[in-house]
Amino acid sequence: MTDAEWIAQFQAGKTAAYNALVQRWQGPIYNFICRYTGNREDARDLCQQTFIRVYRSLKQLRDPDKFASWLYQIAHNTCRDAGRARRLMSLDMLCENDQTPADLLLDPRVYPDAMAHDQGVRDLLNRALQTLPEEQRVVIVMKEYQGLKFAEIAEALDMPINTIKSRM
Amino acid sequence: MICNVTREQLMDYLYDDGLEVGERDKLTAHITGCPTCTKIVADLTAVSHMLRAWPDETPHLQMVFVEDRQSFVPDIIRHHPWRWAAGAAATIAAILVLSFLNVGFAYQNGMFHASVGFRGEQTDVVESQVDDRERPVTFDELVAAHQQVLTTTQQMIETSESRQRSDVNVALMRLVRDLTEQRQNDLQQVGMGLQAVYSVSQQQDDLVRSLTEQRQEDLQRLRRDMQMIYNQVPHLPNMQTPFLLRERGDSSATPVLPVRNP
Repeated sequence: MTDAEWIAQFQAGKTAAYNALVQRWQGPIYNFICRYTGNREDARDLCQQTFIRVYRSLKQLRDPDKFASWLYQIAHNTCRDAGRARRLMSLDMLCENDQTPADLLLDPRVYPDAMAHDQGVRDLLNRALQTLPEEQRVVIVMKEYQGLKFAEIAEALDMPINTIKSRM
Repeated sequence: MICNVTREQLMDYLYDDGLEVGERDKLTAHITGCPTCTKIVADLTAVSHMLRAWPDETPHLQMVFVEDRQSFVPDIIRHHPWRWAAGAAATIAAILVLSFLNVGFAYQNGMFHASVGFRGEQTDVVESQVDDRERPVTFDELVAAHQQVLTTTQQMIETSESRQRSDVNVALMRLVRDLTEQRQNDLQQVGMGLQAVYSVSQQQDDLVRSLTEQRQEDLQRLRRDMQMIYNQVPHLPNMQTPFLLRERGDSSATPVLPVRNP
């Protein structure tokens, strides 16, 4: 079933349809919040808050085809309201001599085994993202990781589409 | 940017998002021949690849939304409020009309009375004879029925008590019988146990008696042997060799001295 069909069922009074939507979208929303805030614990809390907000507002959604951008909009607003988008130390501070952040990511000395390397890559990318301004970070996360169209991002952030592109 | 390709166009090209038909081919041709755009696209592609080294994670949120509590408001009010309002208005109007016509029902002297008329008037229009089964009950009949109920209840109680007494007696008899059987079994077991103990004791006594006799015989034999040996050794005339034949723990035993034969 499509999102629009689940939404129609929910708006007709079937709460189970909302559980199906949650099941489908909790992964993307969690990962979006996780990369946007840079913190897993915060991501779990904010993801739950997001879906609670969506639950309260879904009956008023007039255009179910725009559910994805509407959902990301609520997730983004939830994060901003919580004020948990934090800035971490610059990735450049970790680099030695002529090393670039990309070199740092590929440096095997830092993380000798595969699991530690994955965790290290995740940490470094997280730091790199957190060094970006919030308005740029959210666009990059939505585009690179969530795979949203520029038009959907513009809708979710309520901005002109060229502004979105210029922030990439 | 030196060329006239904007960053927004490069973004569209890089993510293949929002390009019109033919526009991608034009951009490809331009980027191939433009070092600046080539470098920008290469850098952005590298960054994009680098960012994708962070894989998605599986959340363990376990969120479940339960059904809303059902509203007390009927569906017709929620979904068809105007229809409900019309029905309610019709009902109120009917009540008012009936009230104005002074329609009433009453039960009196074993008969139902239905009356209708304008206020201030009272016109009986319907009278119905009540069935004999529905006539009012007299006081004597009520007392008799009450007495009957009491008698029946008393009989039921007595029957119940009698049955309970009987059940208790049967249970007590069974208990006495079981206890007697148990006592017999216990006595039998005790008897068997005592018999076993007595048997063991008897065996022990026999063994002790046998050992004592054996010991007496051994002592006598020893004494004879010693006497014989002593008699065969005449060069030891005054040897006072005490043979302590003391039993362990037997303080009354006295040393037995060999006696030289004359």
